[in-house]
Amino acid sequence: MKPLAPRLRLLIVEDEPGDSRLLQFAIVRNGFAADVREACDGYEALRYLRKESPHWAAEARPDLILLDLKMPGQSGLDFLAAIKQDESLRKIPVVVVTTSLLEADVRAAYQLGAAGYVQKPADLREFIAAVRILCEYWFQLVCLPPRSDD
Amino acid sequence: MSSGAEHDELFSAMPASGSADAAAPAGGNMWKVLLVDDEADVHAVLRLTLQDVQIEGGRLALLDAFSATEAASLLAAQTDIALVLLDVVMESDRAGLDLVRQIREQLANRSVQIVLITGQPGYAPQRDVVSGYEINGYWIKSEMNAERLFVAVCSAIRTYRLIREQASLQAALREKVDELDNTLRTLRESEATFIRAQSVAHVGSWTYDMTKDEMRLSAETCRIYGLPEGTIGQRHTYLERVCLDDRGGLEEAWQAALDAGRPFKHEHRIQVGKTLRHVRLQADVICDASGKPLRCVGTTQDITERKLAEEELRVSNAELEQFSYAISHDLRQPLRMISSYLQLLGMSLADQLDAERREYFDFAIDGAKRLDRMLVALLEYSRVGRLGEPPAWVDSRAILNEALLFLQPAIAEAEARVKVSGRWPRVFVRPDEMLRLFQNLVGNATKFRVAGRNPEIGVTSTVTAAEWRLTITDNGIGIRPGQVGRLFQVFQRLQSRAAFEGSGVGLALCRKIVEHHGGRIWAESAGEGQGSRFCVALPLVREGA
Repeated sequence: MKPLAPRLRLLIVEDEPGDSRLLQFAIVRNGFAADVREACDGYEALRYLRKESPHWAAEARPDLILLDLKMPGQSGLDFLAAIKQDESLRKIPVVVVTTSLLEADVRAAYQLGAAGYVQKPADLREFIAAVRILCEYWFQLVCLPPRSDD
Repeated sequence: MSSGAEHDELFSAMPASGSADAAAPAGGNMWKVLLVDDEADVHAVLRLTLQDVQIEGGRLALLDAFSATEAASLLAAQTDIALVLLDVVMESDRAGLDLVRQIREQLANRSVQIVLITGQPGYAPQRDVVSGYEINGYWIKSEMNAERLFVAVCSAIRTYRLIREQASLQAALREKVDELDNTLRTLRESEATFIRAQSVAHVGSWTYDMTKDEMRLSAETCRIYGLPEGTIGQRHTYLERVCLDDRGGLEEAWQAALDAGRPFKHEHRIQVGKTLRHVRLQADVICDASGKPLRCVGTTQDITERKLAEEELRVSNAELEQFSYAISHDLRQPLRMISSYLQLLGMSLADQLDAERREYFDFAIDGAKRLDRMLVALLEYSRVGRLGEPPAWVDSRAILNEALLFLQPAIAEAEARVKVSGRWPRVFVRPDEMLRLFQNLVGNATKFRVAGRNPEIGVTSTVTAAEWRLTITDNGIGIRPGQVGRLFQVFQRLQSRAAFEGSGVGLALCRKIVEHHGGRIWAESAGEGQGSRFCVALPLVREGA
C-alpha cells in the first residue's frame, strides 16, 4: 500500500448517494485521504461554496470538485457555467465524473471549462483504476506548490 | 291604268341614248331591280330609262313582273333583289300596298328597297302610305321624269348596298362573337381546371404590374392569404401579411431579383387572421427591351402542411434523442450501481464464499455488465443518421485503410490475410458511419473464424453506372441456411456468447448505416463452415451533380 498522500479537500456534487459512496470508496481504496463534502445538486453546491449558511462559514474552499452531470435541480452543466462566471469560484478545478458517454456532453463540459471528464466504467475494478489516475494527478498537482488559502 | 300623260312626262325626260345592248360585263356587280306594273308600257319606259344606269360600281339587272302575285313569287325566289319599283293599283286597288306588307312580313325581307310609283294617288295618299308601310320612296307617275327616277334609283341602290354591307358586317360580327363565346367557354373551363389544380396543389399564382403597383391574385392565392376572391391589390397587400421577422428577407430577395432581372424563390411565414402559414414564393421578372423590370409573375405555394410535418419530425427526433440519452444515462446509472455493489459485496465477502457462491456473484455481475454493453450498443444504433458527421466527398479506399488500421490488432491476433481489390471511387457518404461499416464487416470476417483455419478475407469494390458495390468474403463459420434473415436484426445472435462475444447490434448497425445511405446490404453463404459473403450496394452520386 502506498504512503498516504496529504488530505485533499474535495466537494462531490452527486445526487445518487450510492455513486458518491462508490467514489469515496475508490479514493480510499487507492490509498488517498480526502476531506469530502457532498452536495446533491448544483444549487446546494453553490450555496455551500458561497457560504450561504452560518455553519459553512468556517469551511475552507475545496481543492477539487467532482461533478455529476445528470441531477435533479440544477444540472451539472448549469452548475459548471455558474461557477465559471463567479470570479471568486472560477479557479476551483471541476472534473466531471459521469455515466454519460454522449460526445455532446463531453464537448459541452470542456467548453464550459471542465478540468477533466471521467466516464464511469461499469466494472468496479476499472472504476477504481480510473479514480486512481484521477487522484494521482490532482493530489500531486494540488500539493506540489506551497498551499495558499488565498 | 296609268294615264298617257304621265308616260309622256317620263318619255320626254329620257336620255336619247341607244346603248340598249350595253349589258353589265360578265361577272360584274349587277343590282337587281324588279319592275312591277300591270302595264307593259310602263315596263318599257322604265327599262329604257334605266338600262344604261351605272351605280355603285355595277349595272342594273332589270326584272319584270306584271302583277303583285308574280312579283311576290319572284321576290321569294330571288333574295338579292335590291329595289322594287312598284305600282299600287294592279289586280286590286291595293295590290301594291299588300305586296309591301307581304315582302316585309311574310318574306321577312327588310333590306330590299321599295319605291312606290302610283298613277292614282287617290287610292294611296302619300302621307298615309309612307307612314303606314315600310317603303323607301313614293312617286306619282305624273311627277316622275328620267332625272328623278335616276336619283330615286341611285339613292335606293346605295341604301340597299349599305344595308347589305351592314348585314354582312353583322353576320361576320355574330360569327366572331360566337367564336369568342366558344373561346371564352373553353378558357373558362380550363381556368376552372386550373383553379381546381391550384387548390389541390395549394399553389396560387399572381402577377404584379410594377408600373401601376397592381397585384392580381388567383383564387388560390386569395385563399392562402385569406383575401376575398378576385382581390386586386398592391404589393403591400401581399407584404403586410408576411410575418415581420420574414418581411425584410423577402423584400431584400425581391429587390435583388428586380435589380438583376432574374427569377427568385423565398420561403416565409404569413399571418392570416390568427393562423400562421408557411408559403413558398417563386417568381420571375419580366423586363422591357431596355432591361427595365415591368412585371413579376409568380406562384405562392402553401407549404404549411410540409412545414408542420417537418416540425413534427424534428420534435420526434428530439424525443428519440431524449430517449437515447435516457438509455445512456438513466438506465446505465442504476445498472452500474448493481454491478459495482455486487462486486464490492463479492470483494468484502471474499474469504466467506465457496466456489459455487463465487460463481453466483460472477453470473450476476457478468449479466449486469452485458446489459450495460447492450445499452451502449443500442445508443449507438439509435444515433445512426442523426448525429455525427454530415455527408462529404471522401476517398473510399482511405476509409477502408483507416478501418483496417483500427482492426490491425484483431487481424494480427487471428493471423488473418486481408486482400483488397477492385476500383475504389470517391463517394459522398457520412465518413464516420462508413468507417463503422467497414470496421464491422471486416471485423466480423476476422472474428467468426473456424478454429484452426487462418481467416482469408477479401474486400472488393466495384463501380457500375449507378452503383458502388462492396463485397466482403471470408472462409469463416458461414451461415446456416434459413438464418440469413435474422442476421441483420438487433440483438439477434446466431452464435453462442461463449463462442463469440459481441454486443448483438453489429450487423443491425451495418444495415441501418447502409439504408441511411439509400443502399442495400445482404449476406450469402453456402452453409455452416463454408464461409460468408456480405454485399453492400450503394447508389453512386456523381461528383459535382
